[in-house]
Amino acid sequence: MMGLVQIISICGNSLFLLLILYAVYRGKLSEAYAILWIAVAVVILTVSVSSALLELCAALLGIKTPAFALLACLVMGLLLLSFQITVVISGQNRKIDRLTQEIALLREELNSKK
Amino acid sequence: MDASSLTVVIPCYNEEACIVSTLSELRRNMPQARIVAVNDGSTDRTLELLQGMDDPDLVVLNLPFNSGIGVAVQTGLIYAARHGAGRAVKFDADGQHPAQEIPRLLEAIDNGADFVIGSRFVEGTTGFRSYFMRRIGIRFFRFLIAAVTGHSITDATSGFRAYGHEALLFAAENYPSFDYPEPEECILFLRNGFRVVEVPCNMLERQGGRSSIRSLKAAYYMLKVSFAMIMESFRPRIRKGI
Repeated sequence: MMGLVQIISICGNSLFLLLILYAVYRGKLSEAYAILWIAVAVVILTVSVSSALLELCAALLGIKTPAFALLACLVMGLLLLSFQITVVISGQNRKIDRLTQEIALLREELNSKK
Repeated sequence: MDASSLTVVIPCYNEEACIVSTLSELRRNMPQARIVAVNDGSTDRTLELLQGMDDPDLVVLNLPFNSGIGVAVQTGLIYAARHGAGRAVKFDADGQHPAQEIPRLLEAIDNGADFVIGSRFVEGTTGFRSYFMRRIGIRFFRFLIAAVTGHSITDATSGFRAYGHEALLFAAENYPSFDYPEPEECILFLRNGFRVVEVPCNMLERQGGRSSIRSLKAAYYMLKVSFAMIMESFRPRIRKGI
């Protein structure tokens, strides 16, 4: 029989998957970043649906209660996503720095031509 | 490119108290140099004062917002590289760097160095040597640089630096756009086979403004800079054929 955490996880993840797909469809989330979100949601959904798989996960992780294994998977997925976001932000920071520099240089070029 | 042409890059962030006197002193000592002042999103009157200076060889670059000293310095170096400078000097706006010492740095460039650091700690200096805690930090950086490059740099945090032409082009492209880039820059140049030289330099106490490294921030600074230096020492060399 399914536990409450499992039911919440299945419902929550299904909604979340739909939200990801909707965001991609509306162009609010780029495909490149959506892939990891979808992968994490699918893994957690699969583990939530299959009790056997969840128990196997729990056994592999050395966790007695399967529901805690589900939470552990969730935390790991979120950590992975946070890391990816930080990588993306770092790349964007470098690009913003370069754009800032080019703005200053172009401004000066324009002023010197006046 | 004129090999002897000099561009002096001055990053400025909230330096209204001393920017005019620093620039006047610099101009008095280096009448031929092009001075590039990079306003790094100052919130005081720094930009207004810079734009009001009556100096045809002063170029003012205005970053739209505060981006950190690394970005500001690199902007000035990019300008120097794109406008055919043969050599460049990085000079602080707060009046700590004595303009009359610039020829000493340039002399080292003329003698074959690529990158020259004005040091407060090599023999022959008598000027201001920073505060006790900072000196400990500087010693630590000296140890770290020696550990990863085998070279001894006595004053890795000194911002008073000169670049030969090749080093200027390299720095314009690869300058560490980090909050406090000086120690990391030393490793970058050493690992990429540039001839790095220190010359004695008598520095002054800052004449105005506030240091960006204070109290608790200093510990965080040490951690961040050390981490950046170690990571830099593991990166593949950018310059080929060395």
